Amino acid sequence: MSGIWLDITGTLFEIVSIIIMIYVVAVSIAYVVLFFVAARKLNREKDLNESQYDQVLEEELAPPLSIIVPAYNEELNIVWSVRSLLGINYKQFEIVVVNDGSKDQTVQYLIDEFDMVEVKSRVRWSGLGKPTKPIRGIYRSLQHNNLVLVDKENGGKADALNVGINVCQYPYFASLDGDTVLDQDAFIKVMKPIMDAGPNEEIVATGGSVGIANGSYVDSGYLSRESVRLSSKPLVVMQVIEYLRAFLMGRIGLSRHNLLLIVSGAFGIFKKSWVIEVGGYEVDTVGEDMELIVRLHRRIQEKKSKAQIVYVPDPVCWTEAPEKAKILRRQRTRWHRGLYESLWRHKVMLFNPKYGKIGMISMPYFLFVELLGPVVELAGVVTVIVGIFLDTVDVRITMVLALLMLLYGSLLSMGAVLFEEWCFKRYNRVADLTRLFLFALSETFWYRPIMTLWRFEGLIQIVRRKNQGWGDMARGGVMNSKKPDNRTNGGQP
Amino acid sequence: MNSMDPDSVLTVVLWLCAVMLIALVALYVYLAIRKSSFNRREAAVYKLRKELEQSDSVLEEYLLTGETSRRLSTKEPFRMEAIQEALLHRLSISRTPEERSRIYDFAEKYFSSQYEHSLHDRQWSTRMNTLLWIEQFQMNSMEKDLLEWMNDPQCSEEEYFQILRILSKLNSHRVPEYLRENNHDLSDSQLLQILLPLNDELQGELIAEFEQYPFRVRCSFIDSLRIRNIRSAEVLNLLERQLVGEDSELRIRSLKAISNFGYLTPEATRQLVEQMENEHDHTVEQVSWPERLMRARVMGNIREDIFVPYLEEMLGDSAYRVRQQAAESLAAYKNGLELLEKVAAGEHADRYAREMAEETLERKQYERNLA
Repeated sequence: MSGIWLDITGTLFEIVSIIIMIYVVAVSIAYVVLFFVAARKLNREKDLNESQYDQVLEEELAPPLSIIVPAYNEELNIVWSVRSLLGINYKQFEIVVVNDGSKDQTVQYLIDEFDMVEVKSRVRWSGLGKPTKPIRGIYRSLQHNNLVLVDKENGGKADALNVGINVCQYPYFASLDGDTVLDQDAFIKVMKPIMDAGPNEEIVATGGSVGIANGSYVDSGYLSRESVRLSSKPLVVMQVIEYLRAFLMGRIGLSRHNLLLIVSGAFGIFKKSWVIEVGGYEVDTVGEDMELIVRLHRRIQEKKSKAQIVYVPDPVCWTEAPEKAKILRRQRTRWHRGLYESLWRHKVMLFNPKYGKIGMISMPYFLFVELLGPVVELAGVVTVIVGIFLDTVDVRITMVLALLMLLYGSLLSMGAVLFEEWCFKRYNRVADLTRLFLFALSETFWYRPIMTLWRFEGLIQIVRRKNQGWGDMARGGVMNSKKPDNRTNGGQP
Repeated sequence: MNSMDPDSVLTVVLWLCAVMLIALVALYVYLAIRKSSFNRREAAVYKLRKELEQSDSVLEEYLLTGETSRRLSTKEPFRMEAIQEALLHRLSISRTPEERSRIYDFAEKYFSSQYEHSLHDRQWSTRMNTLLWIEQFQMNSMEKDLLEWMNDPQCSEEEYFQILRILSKLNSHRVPEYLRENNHDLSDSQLLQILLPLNDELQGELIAEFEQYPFRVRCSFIDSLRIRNIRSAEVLNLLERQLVGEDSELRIRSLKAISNFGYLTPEATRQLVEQMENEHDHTVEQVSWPERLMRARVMGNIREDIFVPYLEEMLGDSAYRVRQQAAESLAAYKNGLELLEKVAAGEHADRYAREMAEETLERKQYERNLA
């Protein structure tokens, strides 16, 4: 009897090991492919002169843009946030601040600072069909013709954005986190693909790279080139590397073939008509930014349109990364839940040839590599331990394979650093480079296992919360740059 | 794994590890060297540039007198970069045409051979950067090379457009020729970038043969006339001709340009009033709201008393932005604020009109208080 069981366990064990092996090889190859796609593009563009933007900056034909700024308990930053936005390099834009039922003085501060008065006449509505939380009032600034404040009842960031979409009047809108620090030319850089699109091309959304501002000096809403420093905190340095990898390898590789499923929640530009067509932001999800992109892709495919979602590798904005493990953990488990929700809602697209490359490549990639990655990784560790225990795995080979994975991971991270150096040169000291290198080497030992655990925890939360319902997910703070743990905003980097 | 010999597996994996380790270290060394040499170069160029920008430098002397000194050589390391940057900076602040032409002459004399060379570099970004320099220094002598490269199958889309933009800055006759072709794939913004720099002669050519250009070029050309603020009889004539045309997009852009122009001939005024009268009487269909918006703007900038009743009617327009513009335009008339006060006080049947009048008065009041 026990012999049969041992046999079955042995076979099972072998099957699992083989699956894991195949998985590891497949994922490694996927990363290498992404690496080379990005390398080709960025090598071509390395050391390109910044002055390519000068011409466009002077130009009048940049399409008018509405900037939507959702705010929840933002009394500390909202005034300088709006001030720095009013000073951006852009020809024609309006700023729509949407107060999401703040409990502090956000509304009053804005009204006082910018001489805002209530709008009495009927406001032109964009016609987003989705119901939103009631609006308490709409104010306009007497100082600045292009500044509008919408005061509404609390409904979460997605709801606030939907209201902003309804109130704003221009054909393109930018969604912005309250604590995002923008490059002064951010809008022009991210709009450039839209402005360069020929008569037969259509661009539905664009997004740029997000940098980590920790350690740098941000002066009243601006981060100048000279002030960029690499933080001294290990957790932050690891996130810098992680962001570089995610943006410069992952997104460039995916964007090149219109496979991108994420535009950063911190800063993205959307064509309003498309967003309205698909129904705006989903309110009861934690990852509303990714969900919207997936839905836009779905619509593009269903309409058999050639429209594109484009990623601009230029570092156009900066955000504050969590410095405490506790907060980072909360962020990552949340991102993972968001990822799951976006995939789950659109599961019909998975392996569905009707959805073209998105269904056959992007969705499986995000499902198997991003979402289920932690499961396989943990299973791998468990298998190896069990294997060593049962003496079916050669300890030496295990150790060497582990070493190989470590080197491989570090090589990819360094590859991302190389791309950064080719094109943007944000970190201008050799010492910063050396630190990035050393941390990249150490990643496998501590950062990666921790991330795997937290993402796994996110998966567990999904299973558990399923029974409790999602009702209370979207509430809580919309954003607050001083307390990033309160945010429900922001998808993956 | 069981089927394989553990030792050979081990050897293979170890080799792989060694390769990766070497690659990793090589990558780091490459990056560190690149970074430090980049920083050194930046510092050296910066220092040289500062020297060149001193008031008694050889470069200053050249810009003042036009006489080159042998000390102004571009041969030494970083000299060329430093001079390029110094000249570029100078161009951005320079006001006198003599100085500008001296800068261009200098570039022709000292940079062209280098640029000719790097225009054929294997690296795309080097070629692109070279094109950007050629554009800044408006190097006429490069035209032949540019045209050649443009027709080379290896020329990328970005370079192609960049060359077009340079040709337009050099006022090459190739530009109207190119624009007349119907098959190009440029965006509106790119068309505008090509149309804006054209000189009077080429512009005249476009005005004279306006109808022969593709529709999108015509639209962008009208925008370019507005942005450059060209106020000539030919331009006004062209714009007024579009107003009675069939295409609403051209009408809208022309109205926008006319509102910038600030004048309309009596004949065109009469035609506009007639059109609005016909729409009011419902003998013809009303135009789209963007066109009504532009009409309201024109009537605010040209301010003929005959327009007032139409603006008052537009206060009750179905489109918010038309109402807003109508109120704004009315406020620009001599007795405009009184008119708006009357409307706000209830002399308009439409509630939206009254609200808009009130809102505009509020803002005008605020602006007056600030002043």
